[in-house]
Amino acid sequence: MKRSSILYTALMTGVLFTSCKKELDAVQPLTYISQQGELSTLSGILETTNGNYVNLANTDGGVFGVPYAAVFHNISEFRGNTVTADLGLTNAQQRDAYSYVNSGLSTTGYGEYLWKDSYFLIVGVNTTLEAIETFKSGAQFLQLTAPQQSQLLHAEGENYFLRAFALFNLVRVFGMPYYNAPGTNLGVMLKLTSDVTDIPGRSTVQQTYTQIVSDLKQGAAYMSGTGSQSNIYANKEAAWALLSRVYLYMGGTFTTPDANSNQMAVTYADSVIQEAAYSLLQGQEYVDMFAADESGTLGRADVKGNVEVIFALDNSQGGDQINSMYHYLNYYGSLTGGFYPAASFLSSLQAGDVRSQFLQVNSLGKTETTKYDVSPNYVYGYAPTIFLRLAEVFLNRAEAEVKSGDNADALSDLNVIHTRAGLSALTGLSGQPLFDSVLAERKIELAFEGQNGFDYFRNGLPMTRPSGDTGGTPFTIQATDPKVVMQIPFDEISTNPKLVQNNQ
Amino acid sequence: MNLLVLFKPGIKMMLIMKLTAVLLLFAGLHVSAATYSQKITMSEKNAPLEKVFKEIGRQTGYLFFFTDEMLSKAKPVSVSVRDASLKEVLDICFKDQPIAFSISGTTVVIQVKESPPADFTVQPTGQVLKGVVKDEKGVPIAGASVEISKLNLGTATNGKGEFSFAGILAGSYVLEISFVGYENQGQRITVWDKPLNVVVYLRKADSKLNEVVVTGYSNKTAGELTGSVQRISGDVIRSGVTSSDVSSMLQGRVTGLYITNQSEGDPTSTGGGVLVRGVSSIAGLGIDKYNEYVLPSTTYGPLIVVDGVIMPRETSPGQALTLKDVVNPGDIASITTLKDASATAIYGSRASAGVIVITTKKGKADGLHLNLDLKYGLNVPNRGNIRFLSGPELYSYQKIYYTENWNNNQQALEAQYGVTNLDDYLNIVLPSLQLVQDSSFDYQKYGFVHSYSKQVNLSASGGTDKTRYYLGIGYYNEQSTGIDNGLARKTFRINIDNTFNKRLSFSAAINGIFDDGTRDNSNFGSSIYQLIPWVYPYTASGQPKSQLSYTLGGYPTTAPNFLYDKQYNYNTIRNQQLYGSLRINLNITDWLSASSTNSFNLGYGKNELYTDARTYYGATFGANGGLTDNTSYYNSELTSNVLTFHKKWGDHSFKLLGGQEYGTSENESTGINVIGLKPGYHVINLAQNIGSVYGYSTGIKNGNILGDEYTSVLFSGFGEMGYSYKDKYYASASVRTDASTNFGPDKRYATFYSGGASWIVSKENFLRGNAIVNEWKLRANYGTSGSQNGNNFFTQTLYNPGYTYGGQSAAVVASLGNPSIGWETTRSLGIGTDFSLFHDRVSGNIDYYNRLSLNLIQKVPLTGALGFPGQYQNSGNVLNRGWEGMLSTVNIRSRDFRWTTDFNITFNHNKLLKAVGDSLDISTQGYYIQEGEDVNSVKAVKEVGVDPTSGNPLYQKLIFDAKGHVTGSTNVQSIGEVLAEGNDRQYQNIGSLQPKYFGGITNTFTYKQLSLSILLYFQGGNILFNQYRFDFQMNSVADYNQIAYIKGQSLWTTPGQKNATEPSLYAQANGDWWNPLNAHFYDNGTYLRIRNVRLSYNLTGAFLKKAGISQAQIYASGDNLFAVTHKGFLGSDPSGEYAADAFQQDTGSVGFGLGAPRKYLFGLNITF
Repeated sequence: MKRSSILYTALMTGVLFTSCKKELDAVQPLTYISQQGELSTLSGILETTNGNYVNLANTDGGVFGVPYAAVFHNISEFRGNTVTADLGLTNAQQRDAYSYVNSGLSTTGYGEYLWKDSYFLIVGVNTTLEAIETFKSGAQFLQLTAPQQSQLLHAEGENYFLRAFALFNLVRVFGMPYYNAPGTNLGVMLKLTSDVTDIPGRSTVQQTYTQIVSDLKQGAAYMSGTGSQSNIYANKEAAWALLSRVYLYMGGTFTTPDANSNQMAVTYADSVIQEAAYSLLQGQEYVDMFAADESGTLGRADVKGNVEVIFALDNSQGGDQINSMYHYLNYYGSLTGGFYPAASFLSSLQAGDVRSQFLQVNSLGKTETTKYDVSPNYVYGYAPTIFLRLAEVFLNRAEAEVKSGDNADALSDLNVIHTRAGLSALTGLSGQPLFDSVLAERKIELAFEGQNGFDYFRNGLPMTRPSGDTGGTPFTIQATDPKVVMQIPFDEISTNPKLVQNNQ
Repeated sequence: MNLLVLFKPGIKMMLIMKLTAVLLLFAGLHVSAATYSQKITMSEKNAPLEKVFKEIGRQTGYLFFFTDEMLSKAKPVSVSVRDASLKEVLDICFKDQPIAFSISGTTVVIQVKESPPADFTVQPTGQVLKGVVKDEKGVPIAGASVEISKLNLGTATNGKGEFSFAGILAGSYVLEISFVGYENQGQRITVWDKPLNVVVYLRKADSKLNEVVVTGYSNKTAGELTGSVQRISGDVIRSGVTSSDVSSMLQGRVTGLYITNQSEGDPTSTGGGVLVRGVSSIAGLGIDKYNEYVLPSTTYGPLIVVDGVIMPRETSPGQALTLKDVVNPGDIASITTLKDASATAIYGSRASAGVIVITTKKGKADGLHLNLDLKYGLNVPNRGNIRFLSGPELYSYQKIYYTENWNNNQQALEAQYGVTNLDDYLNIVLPSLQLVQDSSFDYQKYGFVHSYSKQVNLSASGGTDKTRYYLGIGYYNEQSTGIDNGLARKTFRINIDNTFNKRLSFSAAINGIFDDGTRDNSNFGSSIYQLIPWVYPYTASGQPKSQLSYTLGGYPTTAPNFLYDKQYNYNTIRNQQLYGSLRINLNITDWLSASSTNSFNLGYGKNELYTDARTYYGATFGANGGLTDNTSYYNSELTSNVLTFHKKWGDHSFKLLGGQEYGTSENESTGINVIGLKPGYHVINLAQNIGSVYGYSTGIKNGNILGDEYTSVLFSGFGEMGYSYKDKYYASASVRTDASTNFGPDKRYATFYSGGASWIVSKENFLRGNAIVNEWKLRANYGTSGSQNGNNFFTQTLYNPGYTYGGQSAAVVASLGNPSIGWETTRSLGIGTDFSLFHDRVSGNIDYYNRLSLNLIQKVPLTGALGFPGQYQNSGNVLNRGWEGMLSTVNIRSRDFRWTTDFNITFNHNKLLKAVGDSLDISTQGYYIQEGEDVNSVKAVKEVGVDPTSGNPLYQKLIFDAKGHVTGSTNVQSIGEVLAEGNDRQYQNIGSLQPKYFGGITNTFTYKQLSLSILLYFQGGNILFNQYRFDFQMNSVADYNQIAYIKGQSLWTTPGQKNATEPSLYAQANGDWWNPLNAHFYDNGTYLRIRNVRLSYNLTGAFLKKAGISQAQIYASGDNLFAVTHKGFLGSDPSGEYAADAFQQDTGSVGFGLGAPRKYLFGLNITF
């Protein structure tokens, strides 16, 4: 009895010891998949590419819990003069960009949100691009069918597009306008790898734009194969459309234009406009493009069939929450919203302008934009977030043309947009008045679409809010004011010694 | 077999006992009766009595008290019995002898049968009976109670241990002597015709050093321990507050154990947080600026062991198992807290937050005992100094606010409201005075109610020599003082111990806990502040309105009417836990035994929130009724196999233990939100869509369908060594290696060790018989333990494939792996002493500890260029250092009256020694901790008063010189100005959330059968984030009802006003006043609370015996009767925060503002 017991115990212990390593190794993560496993297949690469779009719109929301698109919208649109902030309904963080405080703290502004979200996206893109390169050089690539190979290359192009998109948005926020000494003014970090030891400093504005143009051109080339992806994904037309805007930003001011850049803006705009797949919506279709869609019956959430939209975020599964900034709603018994159309903007709309139908007076008596309003409620917007649409390309071309001295074509392009809005054609305009009209048209046509905050400064113009919009005192920022760019987040300055601050 | 004979003046005391696996210790007189047979088998012929006594003693463990002289007169005896009782054998021995015996406890006292002397004459005045009471060492005992109940006489001994009675008439009496810490002694005396002088020796009751302490894998006597271990009996625990949560009941009883529960008022809360000797991790230090936990706090806490079975760590992913989950307080025999390395290192990687060992009640081999404990009582709302404004009060504050608003923004308001003067503006934004006066309604009265608690515990225990059992069932029902909130808990526990033979035994246990809880789902608790008093909730006919529609600030507004909604909505919380274990013990030889403990645990939790389509939230957002169903499930299995060696050679005693353990645990959780439910049909199947009742996510997977699952496996080998010399010097050591799947293959293994020594100084000759020092022990130990914080698989970069974009699957990076991540380790040093002085009238212990926690896992914020917001790294070191002490005194001791005091206090000092970038950036709002500071310290902008001219708050802005030294400060009027340069150092350290000290005092007064005990709990030196002040005191006066200012607060209303403590209402509502990092919202958390007062009476009398009742007690008990808080504290409950759950508490639970419940209970406890 005695001996057998000892033997038994020893045996049991031995059995358990030897079996343990195998048991422990068998335990694997159940909820997540490993990076290695994910990026070694075509389907995995396509999934992570889709994941990079998710990062833009994610309802879980960026690295700070606020979606990238909403952060960028706050910074891009509200630094213009289309809206007035309701002091009672917004806090310091929401008003930071609007008020040009440009906080370097994540608690009091969105600058750090944009910075971190952007590089999260960029590193996600770089990781995928590196995996694609590895995949392409491996035996697996050769085993793919031709359509599969094309699919992979298209995905590569999309990733280049997304990196350019993120860098362009960053440099517009953190780098001085391109017309102003782009070779010396600092842009943003060109983080082009996923390597954790690659921690660059800021490149110049010019270097940043060069990288953006290069990425877009490379992207367009990779996406030249099939146009199978719809407008909720990047494609070559999206790259061209964005190139027309990037060159427009590089095109100088009206008085000191850069002929070459304006020519390139026109060229890429031509490429898009000539694509038969895109056309401007007319009549009721145009009215419905941004119509209030509380019930969702217009199907606006499904942007894929919209022939005017070149690139938009798919929000049909619950979107980026931009709508929540615009909508006065009685939520949990208290008011929400915060940014309403400025009085000067409302008065700039002429009688008969179809675009006044993109505004509504809600049940609380507040005027608000319907460009994001399709959700019956407030938190998630289901309407797509439109980044590129054909109307802008026309306006890009008009502006580049007028800066190039091509008044006739400029006026013609301007009138395409102007008359579509139900207004009679403009005549007899040229030079400065024509340029002013193009900008005025751009402000109305693209209002609340994240453009207005940049359109003054890139042209060397001041951004002015009249006293009627501000509750008393007019507010003006000159294009040369250091406050035109936001501060580099303080945490970034302290964790990356190579970064140089934008002193305000 | 061992024989120990002690010689005492005049009396020889002989102890005969068998040495078992249990060590025989100093004053080794404690004998566990259960280990001896009560039956005697012997065969002696004409044997001397002394020899027979020895044999009886050997078999039974009984002690014999006699003098040599007594036995000299006795004749030899012949005894031949088989399985006879002690009484039977003794009757045979004493037949026809000149001596007699009496049995007292486990002592047989021998006396000479005396016959009247020849010259005997009865003295009518009686004789003087004198005596002295001494302990075993012959030291006189002062204050012992001496009674002759037959004569109804009683006295107490003087300083020399002497007592005397006069006028004792001739006769035979029993002197009953008792003294705390000693066994009661009944001494038979016979008084003849002359004064009598007796010496009575009291035997020490269970010496504290002999107390058996269950430390987990082995049982030890208190003397053997080299570390700090504190045991508290179930009876003591149950004599305090009434709760289903053991941790609530432990508060103030144990040193080094910081227990706090801000949701104690909510009986469905997960239970109190328990911190053993400070925060040894940085888990739970709030959330970082990415709204992510540095590490989730919920999995931080002590390891719980029940009857030698290690309990699982989590009940659902991220939710730690708490004391509330594992046991019904009624079933507890004792709770032992293992605080330092010598006791915890054997638990290795799970023990750095301490170990709590629960021992449940067991049956004894003495027939059937039935115990019934009944309790019923009233719960009274405890709202502290929280009072919401009445209608007219709110109106007048709103008027002040709107007037100030007008003065500041006249131009904009003119345009916005189309008015030209203040009166017109006020007419729009304020309600009519008539409405305010006529329809003001006090919502507080309807939300906070008187309720009840009731408890029934019924147990049966008993057994035979072979099988012992304990069966307990319990029912507990507590309704909170918040509306629609209560818990009904049913429990059972079965413990069976069986001894097959002297080699093989087993113990089996099954424990079940079934909780049925309800919480308010009509949001009253969290939204009382939204209810405007002049919005009357009833229609003219007295029916609750289906929703509240009113005008606020000139805008039409609607809000839910909880009085209506609560008819249909519900929120239920059901938890079921089933634990079973089987232990087999095999004594291979006398010195070697093997045991195998195998346990299986199962837990299931379900939370169901139903929002009816007829109610506000069910209808307003188009959801048409909604149901949220969250379930969690876990099971764990553990096998521990231990080999124990124990042998003694002369003065040397060795104990060795080696073992191996293998455990798996699986946790799963699922959750779903559905909408579109017909009123009253709360079944997922009947729903039309997924989505939340708030309507914003219809048809979206994210947030509506959730599920998580993970498995972990832990494999361990461990050993422990104990050595003692002369039962006076002790040494111990332990080692354990753990392998956990929480870490990658390279860092999977970790080894933890400890060593300790102790010295019982009072056993040295120079202290023997010392009148002051009864017991004195010194001990020291050092060792390591670990923790497996965080989620699994920190080592790998992982993608979450659970997304879609445009209908196609999408994967997003979820975490950046760290291949080099490893274990957290805590190195602890403990030094302590235990003492007992003045015949145990003063006893206690003092401990010092130094706990260095290294390689703490932190989610380190990364620079933007890396692309990931953070990565888990072993980056932090934290030090906890402290003193703790306990003192128990017997202040007054007389025949009928006794007053005792138990006091305990703990001082803890915590310091962050190392962190990435010299600071822990846990900046929810810019909040960070620097090296050298308490990890629970709070940084905030210092508010220093109100500017008399503007009514704006004043904040202190530090001025730094070029080298970064503070050279002065200036006052500015906004937080934005303070932080304008973005210097984090403008956030000043305003204190820590953890107390510098805490403790408890229990005073017990006993008069005859009546007993009164008062338990006080105190803590101090901590600050609290005051959520009430932050959310609801005047900063949103235009939108919500507000909490009234308390004494000492005064509002700025007039320019030039200098006595204001609160900025103008305009300044509070605008600008950056409303900021959790405004120091204004922190209160001093020092407080003292009368935790419990209990008055009990033990029933006596013949009728009890007739009814078969062996013991009966009735009692009245009052919980949380009164709290003294720091001046300026606003709230219902000053309970501190657990492990820096800053900014996390009070997010709308029904416990909102409830405070620890004030309960008045009456109870009855009967044992049959």
